[in-house]
Parts: sequence; C-alpha cells; structure tokens
Amino acid sequence: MSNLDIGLTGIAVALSLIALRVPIGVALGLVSIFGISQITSMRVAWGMISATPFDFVGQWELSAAPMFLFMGYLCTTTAMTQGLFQAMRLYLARLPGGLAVSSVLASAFFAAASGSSVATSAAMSRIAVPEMLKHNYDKGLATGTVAASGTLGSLIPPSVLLVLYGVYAQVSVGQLFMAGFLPGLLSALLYILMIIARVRLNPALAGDAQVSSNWQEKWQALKGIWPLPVLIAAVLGGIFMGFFSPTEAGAVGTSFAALIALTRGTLTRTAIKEALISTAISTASIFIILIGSLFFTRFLALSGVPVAFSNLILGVSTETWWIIIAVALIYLVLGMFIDSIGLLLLTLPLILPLLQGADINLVWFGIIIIKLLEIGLVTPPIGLNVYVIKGALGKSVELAEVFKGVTWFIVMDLVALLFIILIPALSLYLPQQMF
Amino acid sequence: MTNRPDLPANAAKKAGPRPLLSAADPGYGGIRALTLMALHVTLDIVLRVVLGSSFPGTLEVVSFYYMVCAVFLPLAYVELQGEHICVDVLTSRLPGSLQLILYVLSCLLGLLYFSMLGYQSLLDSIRATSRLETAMANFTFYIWPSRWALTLGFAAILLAICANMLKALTLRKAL
Repeated sequence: MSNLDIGLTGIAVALSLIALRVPIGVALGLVSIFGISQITSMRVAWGMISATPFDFVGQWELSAAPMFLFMGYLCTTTAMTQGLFQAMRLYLARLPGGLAVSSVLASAFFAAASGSSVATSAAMSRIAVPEMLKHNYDKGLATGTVAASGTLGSLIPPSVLLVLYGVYAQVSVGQLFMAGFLPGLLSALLYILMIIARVRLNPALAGDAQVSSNWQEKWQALKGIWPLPVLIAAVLGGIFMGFFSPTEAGAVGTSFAALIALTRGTLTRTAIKEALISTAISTASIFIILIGSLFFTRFLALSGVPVAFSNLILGVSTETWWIIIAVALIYLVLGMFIDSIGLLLLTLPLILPLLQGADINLVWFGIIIIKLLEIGLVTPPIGLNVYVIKGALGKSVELAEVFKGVTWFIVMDLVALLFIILIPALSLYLPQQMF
Repeated sequence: MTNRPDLPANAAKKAGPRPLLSAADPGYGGIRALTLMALHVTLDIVLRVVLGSSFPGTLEVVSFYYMVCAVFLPLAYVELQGEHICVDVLTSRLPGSLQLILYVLSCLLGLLYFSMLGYQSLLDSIRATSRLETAMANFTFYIWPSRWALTLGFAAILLAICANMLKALTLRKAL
C-alpha cells in the first residue's frame, strides 16, 4: 500500500468508527497511531504520543478556551441568562413578530456568553418556544427561529470555536474575535428583518401575540437583562482597547461575571461548583478531540493526503469561490451528524493546507468556515440543532415543520455568507482598528 | 445527536451538584486549577493596570500547571458522565443488542488508546522526575510535577472506562 492509500484508508476507518459511536477523539487518535506506525515505524508513533499532548496543552493561548467556557457556565448557573427573553419580549412587543425577534436577540446574547450553538438552542427552545406557541405563533417560525438563532454565538465573540481555530491556524485570536463581530451582528439583523417582513405580509404567522405591559414591568425587567450585555461589552472592550489580551479576557470575564453575580446575590456555592464541574468536563472532552485531531494532522501530513486533496481541489480552479464551494460541500455533508467543535477539529487537518496553498487570508476565511459550520447545523436532512429542538419539545412539533421554518433562516444565512465573501472588509475592518 | 457537554442546557436539567466530588478525586485537582487560573490571571492584570507591574511567571504557571491539570485530571469525569463528544444519530436506531456490542467495542478501543497514552506518559513522567525537568524561561521553573497529571488522568479514565463497560455488560444495555 502506498502512503496515500494508507492515509485514505485511515480517513475511511476513522469516519466509520465515528459513525459507530466511538468517541471522535479516540477514533482519530487510534487510527493515526496505527497509520503512522504503518507509514514509518511504531517508534515514531510513540514519539508523537510522548511529545504532543503535554506540549500542546501547555500553551498559554489555549487557556482562553476553558476560561471562556467557565464564564459562560457561570452566567448560566448564576441565573444571568434567565429573564433575558422575558425582558426582551416586553420591550419588543410592538414589533411584528415581536416574540420571534426577542428570541433572536436573547439567543444572540445567550450564545455569545455560552459560546455554544447547541446549548443555546436547547435552552431557548424551553424558554421561548412554549411562549410563542401559547400565542399561536406558526410552529415553523417559532422553532426555526430558535434553531437558527443558536448558531449566532459562534461568530459573536467571545467564541470558543474561534479560539480553537485561531490556535490551530496560528492566527491571532483577538483579530478573529473582532472579525466575527460584524458578520455575527449582520446575521442577527438579517434574521430580524426577515421575521418582520414575513409577519407583515402574513400576520397570521405571529398569532395573537399581544403582550401587554406597563412601564413598571418594563423597569423591573431591566434588572434582569443588564448583566450579559455589560459583561460582553467589558470583555470585548478590554480586548479592543488593549487592556488585556484575548487569552486573558476569559479569566477577566469569569471574575467579572462572578462580581456581577455577587452584586445580584446569585453567587452561591452551588452555582460556582456547578459551573466548575461543567467547565472541567467540557474542557476535558474538547481536549480529547483536540489531541486526537493533532495526531490526525501528523498522520495525514505523513501520508500526503492533504497535498493530494489540495491538488485535486486547486486543479479544478484556484478561484476563491471554488474553494469556498468545495469547503461548503464538506461541511454540509459532515454537519449533518457532527457538531461544530468536532467538525472543525476533524476537518482543519485537510482544509488548512488547502488554504495555505491558495494563499487566502486566514482571518477572513476563518469567519467563512465558522459560518459554514453553523449553516451545516441547521440544514436538512439532519441538522443537529433541529434535532436538539425536536428533542426538547417532544411530540408537540413535527420535524418537518422545524425544517420548513428553518429554511427561511438558511436563506438569510446564505445572504449573510455572500456579504461576508463579497465584502472582506466586513470581517477585516475591525481587526485593523485594534490597538 | 452528538453528546455535547454544553451545559447551559444540561445544567438546567440536572438539579443539584453532581456526585463523585471529594477532595481526593483527581478531577477535583482540575477544578482547583480552573479556579486558580481565573484568579491568578485576573490578579495579574489588575496589578499590571493599577501598579504598572505584575509578578513574573504567570504565563508559565498557567500553561504548565493550571492548563495541564485542568485538561487531564478531569478526563475520567468525561467518561463517567457519558460526556464524550461522539455521534449517536446512526447507532440510536439499531436494536439494543447491537448497540451493546458496539458500545463494548468502543470501550475496548478507548482502553487501547488511553493505555497507550498512559503508558507513554508514565515513562515520560519518570524520566522528567529523574532529570528534574525545567521549562525554557529566564528563571528556573520546574515542570516535572505536572507531567504526572497526564499519567494520573489517563489512569483514571482507564478505570472509568472499565467501570462503564462492566456496568453496561451487567445491565445488558449500552450506556
């Protein structure tokens, strides 16, 4: 067998194992160890096992990942995320489709703090969807809104996906954060405009949503929503102004979140403990994949598959649009059953060499990759977010309805993607303004 | 659906703190490391912004101690709580007996993988300890103790996988 054959066989075996529910990190790691022993020798494989995990994990830049996770969990366990939707719906009641618009905004904040699409969709489907259905909202609109809005978090910083991409691709995480901000905002805005337009044309979609409230209630509700926007603004502002690095920002954000919770009297022992345990588990499970993916990168590099893959793609055309289509196709297929972090780490060993070969701006393309990943989470036949929502709501909605509802949002995502591709300044302007 | 450890959703579901937390757990060390990391880095920045100077070695301590402990010590939690990132869309439709077979297979692969990692880490830890390994820095900074976090973490996850596999076999059901 040639090295290339070993590489291709390795990819096939790894994907099959993953499909059979072997943990992604274990599948990638094992296949790589045996692949490398076939291409070179077992001694090289042992050398890799010895060097990689310790050296890679002991990286200052990576400490941002657990710290941002900690911040996100702390926001949830200290009840900062509660009440966000409840407050928004009071303020936005007058807009057509006000409840759906509130869901988009609440999800955007929730996702920015929690850094996870699937978690946001799961939480919001329990908070926002029942409220919308109670007011006779169209089921597709209600569930589609929540499924799609969960994906906003990976572009709106701080985002764990961007940290991982940055460390992997050796791109400044601070620049990536700034680069993701406007595209994330644009996506949210497009969602909102689409909802308003659709409800204007067909008011029946938004049922009888007359949420009445008085000023007293609105004033009360304000107490529930200030922490998250303030926290996110402080973290991003600090990075932008150069007070602290993006790596340090996670730790500062965590302390700041704890301080906010302290002033609100929600910083209990249980809340801290819950957040810590969740962070520890998330961190360890992400790094299991990360280490497997590093082994996989070495293995593939030795086999020559990335070069062959690049040649194959670039042989058709070296135009940026073609590379984007090729990458989009990969994510569309794999995004059906692997969630964003796993997918990113699984595909970067192949895609990064391609980008470096084509001399593409890695900050800009990082934003495109993240957007593509997120679109993959909601596209039929198996969008992960859609399944999460269906799982949370049970029999009250049909899967087909969720997919139908989410289609409108996918169209908006494609429009956003087009903007991001056609106007690189959308991603690259803010990073250039950084101190 | 993949199993993701994203907790905002799960945390809401599971009321109260999770079990298996005592000071003797290796995972507890991971949790301490996370707490210290947040406090240490914050203090460092506060001192830098307020006083214009901060203590040396923050970067080294965070990278070589806190990060290594936070990542490797809680490995067994991931296994025990079933929080591995994996794909179960396809297997969830299979009959129960087949799921059990696949689960045991996946446990065996996990055992093989983590025992290779654990074995190599053990050798590395012993070597690093005998040499009193230090990091490249402009002061003497010992890193050999943190090598043991890997060995300990991998050993713990091996035990956890064994426990889960035995449990699945006794219950005759994939976990």
